Amino acid sequence: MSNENGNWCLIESDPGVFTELIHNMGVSDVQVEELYSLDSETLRSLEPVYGLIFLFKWQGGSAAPPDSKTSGRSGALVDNGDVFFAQQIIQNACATQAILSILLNRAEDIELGETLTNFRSFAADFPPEMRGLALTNCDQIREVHNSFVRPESFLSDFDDEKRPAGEDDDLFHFISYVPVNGRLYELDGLKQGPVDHGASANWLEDVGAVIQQRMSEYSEGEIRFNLMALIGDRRKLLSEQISTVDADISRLMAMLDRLRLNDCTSPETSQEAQTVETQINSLNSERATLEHRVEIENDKFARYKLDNSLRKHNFIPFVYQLLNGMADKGILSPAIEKAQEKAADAHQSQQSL
Amino acid sequence: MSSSGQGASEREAAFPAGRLFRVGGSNVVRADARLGVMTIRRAGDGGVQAWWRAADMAGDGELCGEYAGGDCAVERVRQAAGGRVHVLRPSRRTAGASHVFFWLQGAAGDDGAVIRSVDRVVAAGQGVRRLLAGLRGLREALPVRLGDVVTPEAVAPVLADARLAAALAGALPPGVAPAAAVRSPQFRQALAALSHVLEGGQAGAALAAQLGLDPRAGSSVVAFLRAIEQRRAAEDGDDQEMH
Repeated sequence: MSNENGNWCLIESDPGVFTELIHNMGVSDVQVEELYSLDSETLRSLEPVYGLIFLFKWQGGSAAPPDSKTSGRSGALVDNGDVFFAQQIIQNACATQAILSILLNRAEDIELGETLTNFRSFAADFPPEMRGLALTNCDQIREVHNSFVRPESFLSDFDDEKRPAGEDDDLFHFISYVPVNGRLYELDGLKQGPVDHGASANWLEDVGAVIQQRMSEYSEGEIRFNLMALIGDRRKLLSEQISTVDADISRLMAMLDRLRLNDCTSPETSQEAQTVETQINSLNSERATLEHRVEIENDKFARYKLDNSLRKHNFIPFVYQLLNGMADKGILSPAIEKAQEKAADAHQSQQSL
Repeated sequence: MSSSGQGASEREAAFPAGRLFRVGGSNVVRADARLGVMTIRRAGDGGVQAWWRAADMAGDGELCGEYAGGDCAVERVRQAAGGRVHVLRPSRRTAGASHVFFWLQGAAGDDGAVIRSVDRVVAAGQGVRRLLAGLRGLREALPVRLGDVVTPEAVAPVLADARLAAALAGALPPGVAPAAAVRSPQFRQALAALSHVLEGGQAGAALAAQLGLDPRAGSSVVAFLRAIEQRRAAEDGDDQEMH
């Protein structure tokens, strides 16, 4: 049995998976968000943005991944001590590796936790290829990665013959974009080193163009793109913003009380009180918006939790019980026949093509 | 007594004949001297039946042999002197299917025609059988996807049963309702993977064995589902043998 994936399993490229993956590796206050737009307004609304992950997906069987030496015409390959760059050794680890490329380069802005901090120091002086190997061999990281194995893998207990990669399998490639010391870098594990896209005062303004340029190198049919951002924990940020608003509201309420207490009759006081009231209303409205955003995040995380628990769940007992229930109710036979009809119809229409 | 030709058609051949029976468990067959009428008949589902009655009785008499799907053939028994002893036997070794030995009692010159008339009935039965098997075979042979069997609509009656639904909830992560699970993409993926495992090889057999089923139940999705059905029916306590 070929072991080219060195015991790293294929995991789903899903923001819920990645968010929990990062958290389970010991990182605090970071989440992964899927992006549907590259405009700077969208990106700014998600600040702090630590890095972007650009995911290429080739539909199985179609064009092979382009030669990484020739793709990505802009930017220069550098050998830079500033940037923590690791070469990609294992295909199945590419998503985790792309995430780590960002995290390990933002150590000053992010609470990495013990595992990643140790890994960073351990691999700090290694050349890129050795860093890649070190990552591959890091049991703690690999175990967290593998805990998100795709649902069908629970059947691998029974699967003596590993399913060979076939036409249905998609090929993935991940590239990270991260700012380090005022310059924008592209980290592609299949290249020899980081690619420098130049100095950037505000990288969120510049990264859009760089990625668009990259996308334009491919024809539409052969490839699909996904974009994800590693950002600061939204709920933490929102709760800080709510605290600030609450403090402002309290201050203004106190001011209002004083105004009313002092002089109810003078027009100036009355005018001032009205202004303060208006400000309070506006802050309340802002607070409501922030609360609403917190709810959206809570819902999203509840969904992530549900999806992740279902991903890891062994459905065999459930299916078996369900089938027994169907048999008890006498509805299994009709369901089988219906499915057979469907298969026969599909077969017929295929034959007549 | 009717000679060959009467009743001869693709559905039925009736002719004068007597029976022979095996002696004990041996290979020896001994003739029963009674005169009688053998009727070889094809049923609607392609099966073939052999009936015998004594010459002085009315009706069909007794059923001596039955071959599902018409899976039978008639042959002359070479070891018998005189060449008038024949046997109707199953085409393949099938448990419970019997050999029907008979000796022709009509005019010797008609023997050829009699046997041809029996052949016609048997062959017609096989023609139908092949046709039916072709249709059934195709449907049974095409792989079926578990996802097409276990649809949300199909399982609704099970989920509506409070007792069954409670048990199902126990097989899910905490806080997940069976109805939600059945619609989840993760469940759909699991069904697809399970279908793949069941459509062949050691993996399917191992899975079936793990669930306490015959390993052959893991040879296809349909085999798996039928095995579950059969075991459930057996567990019900009804011991009715189905013909």
